[in-house]
Amino acid sequence: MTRISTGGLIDRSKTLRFRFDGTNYSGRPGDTLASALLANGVRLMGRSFKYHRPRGVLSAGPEEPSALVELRSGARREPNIPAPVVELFHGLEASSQNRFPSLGFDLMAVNGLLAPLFSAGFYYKTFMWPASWWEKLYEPLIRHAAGLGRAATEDDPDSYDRAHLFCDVLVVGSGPAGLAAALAAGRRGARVVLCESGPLLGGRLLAEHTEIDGMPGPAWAAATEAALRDCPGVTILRRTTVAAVFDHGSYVAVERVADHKPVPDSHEPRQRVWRIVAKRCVLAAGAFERLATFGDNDRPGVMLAGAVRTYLNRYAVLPGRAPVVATSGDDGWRTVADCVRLGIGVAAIIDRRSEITSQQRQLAEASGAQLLLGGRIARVYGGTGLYGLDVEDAAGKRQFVSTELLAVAGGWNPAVQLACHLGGKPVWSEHTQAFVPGTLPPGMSVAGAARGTFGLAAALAEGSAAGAAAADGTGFAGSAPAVPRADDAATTPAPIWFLAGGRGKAFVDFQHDVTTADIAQAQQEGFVSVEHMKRYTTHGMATDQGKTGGVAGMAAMAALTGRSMAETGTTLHRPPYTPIAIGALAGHHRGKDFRPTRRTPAHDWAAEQGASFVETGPWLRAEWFTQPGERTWLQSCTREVNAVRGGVGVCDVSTLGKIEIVGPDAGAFLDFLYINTFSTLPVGRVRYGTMLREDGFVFDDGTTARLAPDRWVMTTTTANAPRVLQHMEFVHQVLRPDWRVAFVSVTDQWAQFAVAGPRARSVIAAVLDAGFDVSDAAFPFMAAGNFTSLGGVETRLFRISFSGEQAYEIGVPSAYGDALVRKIAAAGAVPYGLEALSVMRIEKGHPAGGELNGQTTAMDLGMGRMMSSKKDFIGRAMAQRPALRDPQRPALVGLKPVKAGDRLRAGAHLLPRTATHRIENDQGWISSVAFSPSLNSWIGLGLLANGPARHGEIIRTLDPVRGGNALAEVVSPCFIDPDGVRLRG
Amino acid sequence: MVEHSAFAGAQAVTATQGGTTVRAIEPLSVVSVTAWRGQEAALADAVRATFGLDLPQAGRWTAHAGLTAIWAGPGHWWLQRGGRSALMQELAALGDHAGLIDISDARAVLRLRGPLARDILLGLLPLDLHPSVFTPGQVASTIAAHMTVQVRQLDDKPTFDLSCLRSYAGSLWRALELASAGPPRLSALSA
Amino acid sequence: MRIPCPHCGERGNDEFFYLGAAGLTRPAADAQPEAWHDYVYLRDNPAGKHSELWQHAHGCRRWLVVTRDTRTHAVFSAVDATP
Ligand SMILES: [Zn+2]
Repeated sequence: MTRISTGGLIDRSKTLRFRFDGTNYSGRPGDTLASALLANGVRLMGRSFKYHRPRGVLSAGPEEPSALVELRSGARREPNIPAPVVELFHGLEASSQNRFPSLGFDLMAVNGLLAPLFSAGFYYKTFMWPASWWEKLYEPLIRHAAGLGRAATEDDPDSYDRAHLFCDVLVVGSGPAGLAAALAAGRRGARVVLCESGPLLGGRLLAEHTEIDGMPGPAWAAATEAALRDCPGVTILRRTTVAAVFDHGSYVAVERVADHKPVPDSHEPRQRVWRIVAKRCVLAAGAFERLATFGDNDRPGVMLAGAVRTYLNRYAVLPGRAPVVATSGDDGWRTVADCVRLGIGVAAIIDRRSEITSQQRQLAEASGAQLLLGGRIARVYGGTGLYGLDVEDAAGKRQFVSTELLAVAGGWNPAVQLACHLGGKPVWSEHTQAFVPGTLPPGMSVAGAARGTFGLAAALAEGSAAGAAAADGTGFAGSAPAVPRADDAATTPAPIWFLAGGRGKAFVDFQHDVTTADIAQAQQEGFVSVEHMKRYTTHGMATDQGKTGGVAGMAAMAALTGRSMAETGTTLHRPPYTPIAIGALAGHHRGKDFRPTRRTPAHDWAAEQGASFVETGPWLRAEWFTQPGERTWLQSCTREVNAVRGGVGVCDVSTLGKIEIVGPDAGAFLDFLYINTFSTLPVGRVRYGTMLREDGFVFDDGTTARLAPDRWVMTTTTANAPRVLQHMEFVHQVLRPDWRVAFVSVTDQWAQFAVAGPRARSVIAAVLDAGFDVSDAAFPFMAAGNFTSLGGVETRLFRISFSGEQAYEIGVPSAYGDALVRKIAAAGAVPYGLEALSVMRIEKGHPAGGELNGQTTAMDLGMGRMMSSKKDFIGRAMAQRPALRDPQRPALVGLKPVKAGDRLRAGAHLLPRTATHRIENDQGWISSVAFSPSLNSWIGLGLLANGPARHGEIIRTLDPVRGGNALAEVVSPCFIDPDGVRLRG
Repeated sequence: MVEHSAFAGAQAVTATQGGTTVRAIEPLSVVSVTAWRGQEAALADAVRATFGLDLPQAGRWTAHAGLTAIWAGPGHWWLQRGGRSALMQELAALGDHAGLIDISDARAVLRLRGPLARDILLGLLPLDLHPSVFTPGQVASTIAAHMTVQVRQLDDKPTFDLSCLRSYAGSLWRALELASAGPPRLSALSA
Repeated sequence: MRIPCPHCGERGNDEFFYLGAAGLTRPAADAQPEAWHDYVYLRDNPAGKHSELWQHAHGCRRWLVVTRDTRTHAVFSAVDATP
């Protein structure tokens, strides 16, 4: 055990048991998986991606590139989780990744010997040839050898929530700068949202030995949290990471609601995605300590010096015996100071500088360490765990130091990521020796370490000022906030530590196993731009996104090319800041809740009748009604068609778009929308109409009835209903705003049913209230009017026919739809569905979805003569273009197989009978097919070049994908009752 | 029953945590009233003279003697009464200034009431419903779970009416069910 | 993106439906084919200030002219499209 006997933010009164790679361990509340493993003396936590190098934990936060584990098991197994961010809970189960067969003995570590195979660009070059080897050999080899954790293979049992939040000031991060900013803004009365990715507020205050306003850092953080809770406008979101910045003050944050529990509580989401809209944002995300580059810098036991302090101070864990501290500036001396304060002997201190302060000399003496100024690390010993170092002093004198822990302080990189999400490039600051935020997203300011301000007093001052300014900017002015007091000595920022030479691989990306040699290879091959280098080597492209090693790679390239860091630059940061579970982005929208569903008022009735439902857009429509004994949909559909043609049927047509149009200019408006004239339509009549787009192609069709001099009701196709309404609103609001016309969708207002068949009239008569005359004389074909049914319920009746039979559409307000359809069925009408409806419309040659495909003209569909030449209408001018009037264009025809029983297929090509099967001979296609019970044959509608002039010709229908090749006769698209005797009957 | 609920199949009332309830509001009589261009003032005068009701400004609703006017867009209002009534006839005189269309059965309305109402709506509506921003008398139309949803605040309990296309009634119910399924999102933090 | 609807206030862009360039004048019925061609097909593609038609489809149903910078998405103005 390496737990320090006192201190730390852990609860020593409780024990949590957990398992790692099948072994039982225990830890304390307040631990992370990483701190608990270190406390148990476990240093080896994973194997690397390509070379299967043994890896321990490098950091103490979400930047962790090495200690990635599979967390939980079964359906909840989640790969690539950084151990330092996993809050320990009782019963936690985790396993290391990418090792075979066990972590300690990894057969695949031989990959390290095959390193040339896995060098930069290996995907692009090594496996180019022969291509056939890729699938069989290379890919399985790589997949087995490389890779990270395994995702669960079962459905995710947890739920995820999405929610919205609005505020004046969003504060990202709760370190000293973030807390000071939130307090300054909150005290001015602004609505503040403070997001902290960890479970406790405080940031580095929890990890460092500091004092603010006379209190230890963690105590000040707790006191400030209490003060924030007293501000009514402040919302604190713990375990919440702001992952993305979007335009106009939009942010996405992920709250890990229940990830610190074995399983979420009942009905509790596992995670929640917050969509936050903030007028201002203070970015106080802190900084990430960067790794130093030297040979074997990835051995378990080599850690960031700041992370060592986190483990010492926050978790009361000494990560290894006899630590060595290596530092390129003042920062590493804090680790020495903490060791001295905790009574931990330091084996050696290496400072790259030749001069240090007298206090640092005193510290070195107190620590008992050998001091090597201007020194370097020459060699690292220990494969699965560090046991010693060869260190060199300034004179090059080399000696061995026994140690299990190397704490490396190579400077800090401001967490600039969120500042870059709208394209702002970080800029190199020579003073800070780091990239700092450049052009910021509108409304964002940056404070503290994220801005490159590393001192505590300065961070508190910057945070207070930024919070106050953000509140000012949203209308919450006030006097200057009291800045919390801290006395920390100014420190000199440390330069990037790039140590050439040494033995072994020097990694600049631990997670993707990218070394300085890979950077050198990229440079030799001309991939000098950091964006090219990144993609060629995959440097910075793993799930950690190069938070620790990114700048080290840039520095390596800068050294190779002799350019400055400012000239070398850095790659862009894009969302998300840290990985987000796809389930969290989906929220509740999965499975049956993927999207909302529209149901007609007759839905429950249809379900009772055995309906099979099909999704058409958001609607659920009855396709057919399976009756006892029917085994296929075709049997049901054929029975339904025969029932209509031989008697009477009822079909729910409530989904068709209905738009009610009123006003003195409604007739003119319709004339402008449709190719044909409606203003002349008498009251009580219906007319079929076709609409074009402004480019002259057909947009939609349907019927419009005139119910009163200034009241009309239009129908549209189901699919186009929303678009037709938008189009009408555009035409009215933008093109014809002075017309006195008003319209709204009444699709949901009316439950509407088609009643069709030779006996339709008798059913309608039985359904309407007594005393109405619906005889052919009183209510002929294409009549429309207001009636009542169900004992006085307002009822609209239209004598229109899609099936070609004597037919009506009858509508009542939706609340009465269920009652009406039951009455219609009780009067003898057989339910029929969308398939039967479609068969009958194909038998009659009415165009629908397959023909209204956005590429057909009114002429193509045989409606050219409907186009009025006496008025302007949408699409009129462009429809006159010669190419759109060319008779050689494919136009609507009927198709009937020559050989009885041959099946036609929608999508088949149409060719002259004897032409070779080449695309040059293509003359059109089949747009719709059906089995016609009336003709006892498959029939089709198609679009055929010069089709209307070719009735009687035998052509070939060719469907190479499904192997279809049948001769068909070109016929009129109207297969049944071409004179319309039945529908007028 | 000849009339059928838009929420057939769903419970009429359900209690969520903390005494917050949701229930269907039906039937309603609703007429869409769109002023002719330039006739907005004349329409407002006619409504005031006939019904003693001030047509609301953008984003607001007003009520008088059982008749509610809800802003639906510039020059566009929904006039509404509870229960079934001959509202089209009652409003017929407004036809000189506006187009009137009966939409009584076109919408479905759920009433969410109680201390957790705002917390539940955080999970549904991309709108700022903070009491300093959205108050009784206000109405807004927005997108929620891929549906157009209108939200109207009635009082400080708080009570909100949520309205969607009638065919989406079941999906709105489900969306509200999902939005209220877990523990409170923020209230727990301030408790 | 968030769009300041002149009637409803600022809302997320998922409440809006995008059409295309604003500021086009529909030619007279008897205009030359070239005028119709330009109206239907010809569009500028500026890097910078651009006026576009958006409908507040889930809000007030009004068509709006939104002027924004195509490079930064900064919105300069949003006004009702009715002239
Ligand atoms: Zn609007």
